[in-house]
Amino acid sequence: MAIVLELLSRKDQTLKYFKFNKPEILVGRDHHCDLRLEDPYISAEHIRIRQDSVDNTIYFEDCQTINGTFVNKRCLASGKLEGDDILKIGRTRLKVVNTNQPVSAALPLSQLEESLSWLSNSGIAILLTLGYLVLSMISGYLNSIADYSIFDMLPKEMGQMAILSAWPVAFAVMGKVFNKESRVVSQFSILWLTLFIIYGLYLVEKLLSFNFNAPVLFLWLELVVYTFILFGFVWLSLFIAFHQNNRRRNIVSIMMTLAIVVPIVSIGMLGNGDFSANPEYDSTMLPPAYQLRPASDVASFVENSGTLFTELDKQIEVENLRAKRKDEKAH
Amino acid sequence: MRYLLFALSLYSAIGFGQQTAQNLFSHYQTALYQIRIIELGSGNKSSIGSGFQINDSGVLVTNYHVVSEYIYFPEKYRIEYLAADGSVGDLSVINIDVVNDLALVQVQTDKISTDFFALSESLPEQGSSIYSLGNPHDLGMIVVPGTFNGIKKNSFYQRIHFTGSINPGMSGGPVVNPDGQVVGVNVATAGNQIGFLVPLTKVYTLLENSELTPLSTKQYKQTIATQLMENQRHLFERLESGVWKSSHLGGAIVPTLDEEFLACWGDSNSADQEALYLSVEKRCRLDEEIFLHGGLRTGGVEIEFEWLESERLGTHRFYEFFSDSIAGAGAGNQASKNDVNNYQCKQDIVTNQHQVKTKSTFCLRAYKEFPHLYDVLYIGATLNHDSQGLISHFTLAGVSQDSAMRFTKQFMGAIAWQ
Repeated sequence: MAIVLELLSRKDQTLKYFKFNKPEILVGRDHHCDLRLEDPYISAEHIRIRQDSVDNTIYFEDCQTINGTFVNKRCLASGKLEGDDILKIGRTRLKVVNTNQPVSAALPLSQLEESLSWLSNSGIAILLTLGYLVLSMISGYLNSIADYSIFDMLPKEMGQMAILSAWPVAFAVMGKVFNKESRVVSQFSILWLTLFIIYGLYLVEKLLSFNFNAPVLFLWLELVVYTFILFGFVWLSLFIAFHQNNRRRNIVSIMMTLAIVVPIVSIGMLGNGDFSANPEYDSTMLPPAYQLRPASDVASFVENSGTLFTELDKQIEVENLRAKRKDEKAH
Repeated sequence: MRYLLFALSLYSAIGFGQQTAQNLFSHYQTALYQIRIIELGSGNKSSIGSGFQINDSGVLVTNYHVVSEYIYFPEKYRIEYLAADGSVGDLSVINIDVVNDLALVQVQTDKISTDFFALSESLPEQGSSIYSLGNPHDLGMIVVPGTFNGIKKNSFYQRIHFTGSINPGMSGGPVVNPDGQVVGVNVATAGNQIGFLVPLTKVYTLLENSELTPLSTKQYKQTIATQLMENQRHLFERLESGVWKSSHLGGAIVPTLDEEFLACWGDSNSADQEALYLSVEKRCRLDEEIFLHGGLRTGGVEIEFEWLESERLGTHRFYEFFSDSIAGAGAGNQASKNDVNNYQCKQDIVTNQHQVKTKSTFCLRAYKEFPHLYDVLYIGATLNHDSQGLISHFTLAGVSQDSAMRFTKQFMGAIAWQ
């Protein structure tokens, strides 16, 4: 058997890994120590760690040091060490590894990982980036009613794309820090692909609301679809950046999606019951070629509008009843 | 010599005017009252107006808008008068006429002044001198000499055009001829010596329709509802039976009402060399609205058309622009949360008998206190051409279902292509 120690960072991440095939080791700052630590708060000979040859139990003994030895935050002169105990000597933290315990099983290699490998192709990423730039220029052109100058618009659209780039860059940095690999190309590809999908849906939505005038149900459906897209986007960003198990990734994705969607929905819903002097109606106009359903005639349109009168009367009746009940309660 | 004569006669005219004003004032001051709306919580006046006595039993005439806060919130306010001798007392409301902005109130005291204004039998001739009396800005009773300029043109809600300054606080005061007989009631000003008066006939009508007993507070809103309903019926009968002429706007033919009370204005951007599109507008509206209280006006009608065309924008850009142009339409009249509910809309693509295809939006909101009265907003945008379109829009305030639906049908059916 062997004594195994891990050098920990302040955030309990393993920095180094030591394995000694000896029954007893000496830890300190002196050159002859088995484990030499460059920590000015550690004594020349700080602790001895010994493994019992019969039952493999590990014991330690403080060599009467100035700063003492802490086991799980308690200052002790000597004692037994269990697996996962944390030793603190000077400012250095060491974890005792229980060699009897098996390590966790390997994560299965994901099929998805393989099928997403094309995203890391720089050529594709550049194409997607340029494609998105062209798309946003076209959309800007369609929305303008003044003379359109590409050279005026280019810096504006590129600026917007630079702002959007904050997301993939942030994930790439995190990936680099935690995983030693940024995969920035894949992150960018995912961003532009998602924006393409959103733009496509926006066009479909326009076509539908032009023809069917966006009823309330439609708004909810739209919200659900966009939430799913956002969730997928966050999930993939995490998938590319970190090696996590699926459960953890799902939870983080749901949290991040909700953090974005909930404020948007609540801002939208907060003002919903408020009084407004302006009606809410759909103002989408598309060229005649996009009309998908036959037009009705004036008489039936006016007749259909007649239902509004009864609906509003009912609404006021309900409100008056409610006010009356409130009054009665107050008395 | 001629000049001198002219100057002399001018001097004597002024002299006569001053004398009349002095006479009038000293003669009738006891029949003039300041009317105050007292807020019960603070016990102080929240608004003021004028009123004048018209018989020996203490009935005063004033404007509805002077007492409107009390009529609307009788639990929050009371009405009080301040007489020329400084005495103060309560007033009760006998009757109101919201359409013509009149109210009859009764002085609640034992010592009723015996002075009162006589009502004139007829309106004076255009150009004759008349005198407006009232208490502007709480400065005390004053006389303002001015000129009678006939019944205002282009008005559905009749007003006398008075050339002379009427200021806030003078509302509800009488306007008299040199004999001291009432010819109208101060009601509004358009600034710069242009004032408006409620004609005498409306006062007569209100007097005829009034009982001697004051209205109970519960009857106030009911009375308003009946009057609004009656007024809108009358208005839409006139609109419908009026001559609907066709006029050209860009490439479209739009309905125009040849009614003198709808004032129309036009505009276009044809002078703008840089614009990529042509926009031609035409708007018609009733000049007056009915004032109900501080936050609520009704009785208005607005009709608007805008022709848009652009060869340079291209179809898709043109329709994006078209979308923006029909977005964000709002109510034509002022109303608060307590008066009306939110608009609800019906939308559809509609083709009329002239093959004009329109994306039509019909929005409606109901009055909370006046059953079966609604505000209507309609906006339509045509879908026949690739880079030309007509926006047709109207708002109606305080109308019945019947009037609204009939008007909408007539309006939508009247649009055509050239």
